Amino acid sequence: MAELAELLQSLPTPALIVFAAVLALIFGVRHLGLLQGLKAPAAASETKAQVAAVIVDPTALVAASAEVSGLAVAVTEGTVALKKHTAAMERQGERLDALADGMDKLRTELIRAAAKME
Amino acid sequence: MAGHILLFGVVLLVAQGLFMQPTWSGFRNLFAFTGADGGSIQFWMGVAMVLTGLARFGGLIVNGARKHVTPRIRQFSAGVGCLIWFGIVYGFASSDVLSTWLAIYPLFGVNELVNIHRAAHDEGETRNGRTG
Repeated sequence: MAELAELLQSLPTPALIVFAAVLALIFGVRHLGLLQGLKAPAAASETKAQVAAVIVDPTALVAASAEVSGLAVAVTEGTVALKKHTAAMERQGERLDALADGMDKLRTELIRAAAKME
Repeated sequence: MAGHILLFGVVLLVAQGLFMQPTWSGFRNLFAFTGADGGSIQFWMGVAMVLTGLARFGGLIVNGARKHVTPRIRQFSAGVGCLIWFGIVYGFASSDVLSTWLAIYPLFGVNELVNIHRAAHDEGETRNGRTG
């Protein structure tokens, strides 16, 4: 103990003061940081909070599922209508082809009749 | 900061007779109580800083490997670093030679204070169950 006191006395006074001040500053800053950390708001994790909200109140999730089911039905109906439309167009195409054939034949007959009249 | 301390120690060990310069007279006076001459003071301070730098690197490696216990290690090592940097500032200041040290080491000390604050903040959050 006496040796320690001797050592402290042999050190320059300003050095001791600076040492004590820095030490106090270190512990002060540490204390401040700890306090602020304790008071810090919950870690910014919005996804976690939203998942927790859904677990607590699943109404929004149920409503969203219903919307998705409705959307699936609408898409299926749309597909059926499109298929029908395609079939109708196909039939129309066939009839147009037949009409064109008939007109070709008519033209041939007309040419033949005109030739006979001459 | 660990690298700064380590390299500072290495420079002290490599640059012979550095403490004989007027800029470093404050360091000789500070450690005069040991009864050692300038060269010995420089050598032992170099050794101490190299060891401290290596220890801080060890702390950083542990900090990378483990998550929950390390805020205290970080606080302690930043505290030691803070004492070292402000000690160096004191040494230079008491040498009564104004030089570029004034632009460097005080800010290192402040930086260590910021590190302490950050590590303590992390410890506070962990205690509060806010993280991890």
